[in-house]
Amino acid sequence: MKIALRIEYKKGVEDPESSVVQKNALTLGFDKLKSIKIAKEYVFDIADQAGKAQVEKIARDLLVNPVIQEYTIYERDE
Amino acid sequence: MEGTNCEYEAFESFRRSGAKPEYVHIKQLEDRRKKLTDFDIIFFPGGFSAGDYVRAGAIFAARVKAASGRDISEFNDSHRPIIGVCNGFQVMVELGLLPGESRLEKRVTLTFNSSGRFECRKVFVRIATRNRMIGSAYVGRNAWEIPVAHSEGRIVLDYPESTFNYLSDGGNILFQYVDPEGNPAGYPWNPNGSYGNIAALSNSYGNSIGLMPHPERIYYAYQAAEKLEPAAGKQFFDAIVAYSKSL
Repeated sequence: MKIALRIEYKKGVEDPESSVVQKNALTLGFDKLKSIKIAKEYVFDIADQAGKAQVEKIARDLLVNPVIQEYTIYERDE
Repeated sequence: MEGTNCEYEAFESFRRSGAKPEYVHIKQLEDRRKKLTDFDIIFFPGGFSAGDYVRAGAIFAARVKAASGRDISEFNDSHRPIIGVCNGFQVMVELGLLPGESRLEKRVTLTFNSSGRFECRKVFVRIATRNRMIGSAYVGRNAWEIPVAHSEGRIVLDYPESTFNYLSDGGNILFQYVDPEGNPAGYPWNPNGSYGNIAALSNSYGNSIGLMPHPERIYYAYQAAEKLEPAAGKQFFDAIVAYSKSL
């Protein structure tokens, strides 16, 4: 069973990486891209439902910075 | 921990200021060969621990917490110095040692520089509060030259204005970035876009300090562009060691 953890910046938090990508995309002629939001996704292969609780815990304890980030957890096919 | 840097410079800085430093690897804490409470000062060096994966300092902090979380709390409660430079500062914030106020838990963090670049150069700081360890070490000059080298040094505050005021009133803001005349200034003097030009934080008691600049890289005046005696680094390590010996 695959569980995905998607982490992204909260609304209003400055993301220098997306600013750099957008600026350079514009330079390269991609002028229809109004904004870019970058997110990170971890995909965990878990043994059973207890594994899902561990994903939630590792998200809160280590992987997510709650001051500037928010996250969603969902099941994935692959 | 893999990926640290300047631990040699920090080691030598402590030794030159009169301490008897010792390297401790995280694995020595994990297998109980060393115990943090047997020491008088803890120093978390800079670098890119665990490759800065997840986010800077997060994995280092998680391993320190798992191996020695209780010892760190005991050490801090005994008011012995805990210092973190650069990546070490990020580790201390992740550990909750800084700003160290339960009210501010999860309200202060460090993230990528606003410039989107790795900033490696000199900056200037000034002391922003009274600190029992630093004392009068930084009196007499409005701007102290000190090097920075980081890409994740921007201090971000949740509820910025109120959190900043709380930190300021509590004496938690130790150093601020300034221009060469000592005036608060934006980029490039503030190299990372930190809110309120914050360069260093301490806990309210003052025994735990985290700073993004590297005092261990500027122990002697000849390491500074300005060549002014004394250099910022010597003042820092002399003060920490003197405080430790006074306990």
